[in-house]
Amino acid sequence: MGLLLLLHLLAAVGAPLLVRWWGRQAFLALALVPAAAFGWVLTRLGTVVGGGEVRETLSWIPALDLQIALRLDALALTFAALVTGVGALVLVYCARYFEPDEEGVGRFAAVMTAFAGSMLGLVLADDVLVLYVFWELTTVFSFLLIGGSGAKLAGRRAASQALLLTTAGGLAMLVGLLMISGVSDSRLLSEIVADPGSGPVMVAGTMLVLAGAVTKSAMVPFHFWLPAAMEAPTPVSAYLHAAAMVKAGIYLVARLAPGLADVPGWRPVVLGLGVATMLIGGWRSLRQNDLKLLLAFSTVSQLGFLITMVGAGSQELAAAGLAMTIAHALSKSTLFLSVGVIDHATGVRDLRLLSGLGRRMPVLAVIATLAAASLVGLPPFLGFVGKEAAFTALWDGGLPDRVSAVVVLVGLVLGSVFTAAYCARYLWGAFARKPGLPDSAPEELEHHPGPLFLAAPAVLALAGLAAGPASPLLDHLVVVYAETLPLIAPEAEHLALWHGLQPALALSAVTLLGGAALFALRSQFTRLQHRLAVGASADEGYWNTLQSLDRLAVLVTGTTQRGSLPTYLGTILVVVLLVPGTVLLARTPWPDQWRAWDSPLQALVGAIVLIAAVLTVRIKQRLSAVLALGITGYGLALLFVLHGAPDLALTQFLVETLSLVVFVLVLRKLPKDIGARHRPAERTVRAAIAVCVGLVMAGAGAAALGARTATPVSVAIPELALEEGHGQNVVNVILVDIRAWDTLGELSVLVVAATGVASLVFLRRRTGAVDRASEEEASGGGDARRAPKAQWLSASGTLAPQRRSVVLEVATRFLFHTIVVFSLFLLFSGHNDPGGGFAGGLVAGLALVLRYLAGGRYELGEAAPVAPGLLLGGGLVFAGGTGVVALLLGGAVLESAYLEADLPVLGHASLPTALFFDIGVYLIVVGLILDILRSLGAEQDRQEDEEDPIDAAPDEVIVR
Amino acid sequence: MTAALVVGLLVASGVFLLLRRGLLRVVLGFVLLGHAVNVLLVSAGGMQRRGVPLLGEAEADVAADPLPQAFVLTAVVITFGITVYMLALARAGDPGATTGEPAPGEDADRGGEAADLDQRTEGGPS
Amino acid sequence: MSGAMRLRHQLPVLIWLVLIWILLWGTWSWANLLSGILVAVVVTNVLPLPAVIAGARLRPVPLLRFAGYFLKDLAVSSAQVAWQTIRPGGMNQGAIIAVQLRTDSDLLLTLIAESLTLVPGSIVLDLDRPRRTLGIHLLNAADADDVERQRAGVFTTEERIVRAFGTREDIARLESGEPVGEPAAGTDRAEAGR
Repeated sequence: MGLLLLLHLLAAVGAPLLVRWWGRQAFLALALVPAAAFGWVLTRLGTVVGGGEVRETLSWIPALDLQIALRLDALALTFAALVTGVGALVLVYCARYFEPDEEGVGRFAAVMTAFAGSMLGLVLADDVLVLYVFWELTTVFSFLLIGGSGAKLAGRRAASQALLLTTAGGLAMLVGLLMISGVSDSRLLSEIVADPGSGPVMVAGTMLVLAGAVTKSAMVPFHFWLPAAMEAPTPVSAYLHAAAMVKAGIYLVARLAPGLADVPGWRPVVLGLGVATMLIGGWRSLRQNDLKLLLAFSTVSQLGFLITMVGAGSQELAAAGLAMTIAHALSKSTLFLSVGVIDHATGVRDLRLLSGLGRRMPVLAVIATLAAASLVGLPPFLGFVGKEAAFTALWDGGLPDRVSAVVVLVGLVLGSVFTAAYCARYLWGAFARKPGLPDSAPEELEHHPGPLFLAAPAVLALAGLAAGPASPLLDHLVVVYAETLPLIAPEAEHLALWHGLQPALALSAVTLLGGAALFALRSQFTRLQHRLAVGASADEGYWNTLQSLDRLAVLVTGTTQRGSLPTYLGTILVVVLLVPGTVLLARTPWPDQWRAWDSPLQALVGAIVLIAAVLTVRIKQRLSAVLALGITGYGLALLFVLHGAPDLALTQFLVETLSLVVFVLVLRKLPKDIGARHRPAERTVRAAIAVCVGLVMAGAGAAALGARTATPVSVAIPELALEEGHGQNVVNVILVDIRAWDTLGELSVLVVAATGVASLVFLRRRTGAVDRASEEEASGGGDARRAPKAQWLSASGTLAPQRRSVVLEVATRFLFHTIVVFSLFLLFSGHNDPGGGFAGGLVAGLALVLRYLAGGRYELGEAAPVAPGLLLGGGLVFAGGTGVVALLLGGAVLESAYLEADLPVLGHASLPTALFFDIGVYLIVVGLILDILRSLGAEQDRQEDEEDPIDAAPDEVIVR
Repeated sequence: MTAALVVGLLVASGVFLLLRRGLLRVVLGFVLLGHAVNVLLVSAGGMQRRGVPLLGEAEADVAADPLPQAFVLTAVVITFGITVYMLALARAGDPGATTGEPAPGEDADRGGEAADLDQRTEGGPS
Repeated sequence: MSGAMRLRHQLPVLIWLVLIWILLWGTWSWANLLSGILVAVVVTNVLPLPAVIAGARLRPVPLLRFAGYFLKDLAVSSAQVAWQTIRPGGMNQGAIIAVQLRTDSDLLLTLIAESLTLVPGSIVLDLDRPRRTLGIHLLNAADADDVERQRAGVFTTEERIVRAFGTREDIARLESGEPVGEPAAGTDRAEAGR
């Protein structure tokens, strides 16, 4: 069974290609797939009729205990045969329905095949979650099929309407299924039905599941999506909206009825909605002039009929319902396909405009008449058998409650009268010659339907005809399912063409005569309908609801999204106060003992950090505020040292230095005004929020200090670091080995940040060209009194003379290589000592900063004549590559290996592969800093030079 | 206690700055908040253990918990990256910042912006 | 530039880098030496800087002398500055003076400027290269005599550094040249910025 589903999937994926190769003939090939499934299903007939079933379980997500449980029993077999058989025929029909060179056929073919597969999966699924997945898949594919290419507004509206309604129902169903399976203690439908739970949760779950079934099968009050969905091409209407998707609700009700029919509320809902739908659908159908819409409302009506029977929860009605389901699928598909042929041939679907087609297309007329006869319930068609059985069962009291049986029977008979009437109207509208209308002339027949085009409806109609006399055979299959339900009437009625002279036969006669009378009096009846028409419709209600929802969304967005950053942040912070703050007050285990400080030094450094933080807030001058911020950062580095975190301290120290540089680089361009225009009240609120959040976080900090009661997860890490990572610097081993995935993610963040910075500055491209010294004459001349005599740096000569500094250039000349060597030392020693790729990269970045500050943008170009993107990308490849290599070597991703050897002269040498990961880190950090220097530094200089090449005043570079 | 105090005051200062209008102050506040969280994380590693997490340098029972340290180390670098990005945003958000070329926000012509993007992607790291 | 010439210029840098490398690792081994050479060669070739004929020499005895005096100055000046900061009388006025030096070498001028800056109480603000003139801010200048005393101190520092690092020509220039003092243009005594 899984193989069949896979086959459908493959066919769907390959369908566009097949269509490109073979044009519309590809549908014939695609039809083979459901046909094969149909054949397979039939081969299992013997097993199933004998009371057996076919099960298959495929592992899906073992960790979540999810499996694809498939099961073929009598009910599933009936539906599967319908779905695959009709599917194959509709695909054959498609091979002639589309024009040879029509647009979008490949897409249509793919979606149609995929739909056939998911529908098959739906009826085969035994696990409720698998059922749900297939259920929603059919919804999605139906959306795609109704919407078509999305070019037509009506199509888009209909598609979104169908999608919204059926997914809403589907979601309710998911919740319901979970509730039911929770109460029943099983996720398998077969087990739930065999032993359902009870109680209020069960009732609520059942109602939710019914909501899914009701929306899917277009029951009142959600019936309106089905007529709207007639925007879809006719094969879609014939398959999805007659035989397959709308039957999913019927299937689900039929599947659950044996176990859940006695759940309180089931029968009132199912029977009430079913009868109401049958009557409303029939009534509306009689008002339609578009043949397709007529059929759509007729389908709504019939679905009500079917759900009433299969949902009644009695053996005899279920058997009748199953037979009727088959009959309806066969005849309704035929009728839809016939409309497609008519539409194709004449381009008209309005029954007021068609005339005399019966003579033009006699074969089609015969086919459609056969199908309609089955739908109406004329002997000897299958429809007659099913309807007869239903009437008999109700007459004999096929419901626990006698009164409701009578009411339902009356409703069904009345609905059947409508059925007879609109079927007559359909045949008359499509094929009869109407007085006052010209015959549809031969030349109006744009396409004369070929034999292949008529094959599908013909086969379906003949099947309906043949199944009637053969119903005793069908009975064998139907009974297997029906016997899972209790027998309510005195004795079970078997499906047969002739039961003798019975009340049901009289009822059938009543429906036929009533229908004939309605048809004969159709003009009077139409006037009556007009008089009774109500102003409101469910469809309008739907659109009004959607519109008010839209308005509400606009209102909510408009009121909450004011575009003020302080408001947003304030909201977040107040929530922080309210939620974690309350928890903190109420539930925190406060430490038993309070220790003022670990060491006096810590207290001193803490005080410095605090003073600097306050200064950062108080100082109005920007540069001074930034410097005060720097002091907090350096103080933090000291605190880290005192906490026993040398790596952290090193990194913090380097980062703080770089931050200062970046701040100063950016401050050049920021306006002097820092916007201190705040009202006093605002200021008070801000201060209050700030103090409160500070208190909460201080409390959290105090609690965190004492919260270590359980054994930490990191207890085993040092040992792991030595044995697996072969490093003595535990922090570094965590970064490059134990939690290398985290680091890889972090590196990606850095790359994104660097790219973001560059793209904000370089508006036209990712980065500018590298400024090389050769491109620019040394500006020289002028007031060069600060320039050194010798050339100490590569390109400092290009710097404006006023900006040069002998001391800085000479010092840079001597320090640059030394710093780079130091950075490499940090990189290589990081595995065992403080350092590592981050620290090393930051140090190398600082060397570049020095070159830029001393020599300007051309010097930077000379120092690092590569695009930062290359370093960033290269670093990411390096780090990621280590993981891939580990995978190739048979380890887990990013697992580090260890090479060691005793070399002559050099002694013992060891090389952990994590080093390569660290090199990637190093490259990325250098790339980040280079990117910052190039965009916020060099590019800014360039823009300034262009703007004012003559007097770039160095003394005013840093303005407060 | 010192750590808790530092966290509290850094957060208070950071939040106060964060709620101001000027973007530079917001960045300053963001950095202070980052500091605060880093101290909090490191402190959560436990009070008693202050040894250096280098094998062979400190006894296992006094060596500081390395895991929060590793977290904070990455946090420090990421905070730096985000800070720089925010600064670039502050710079780009200032209409007078980019002379000669239009600031991103001013580029009203959407077609032009799309073309920009194309160029940017094509330009790539060359 | 020929290969030999380049090697001659690079060699001191290479030796310095290898030395740093070994010192950083803290242990002597052949592996460290070889890797150090590799690192030094790669770094200087991947990230090249123009070759400069620094023309510096290292004279051990004067170097030690300079180092000793430098440390002494560091200690004494630190104490002085600390005292001036906390003493009851408050801080004296500062001064900015211009000092024309005798030496004419980028490297030596830089060293002088750096060592003056490193010692608390004095910061080099400006270096006028053609006129070999340093603009120095003095934190504490009691009176004109004190200024002259500190100016003389600058010359002493210059002499020690040139004798420790300078070439023969530098030393000769030092001995022939007369200390020339001239007031820096427009540098009235001014309170330091901060």
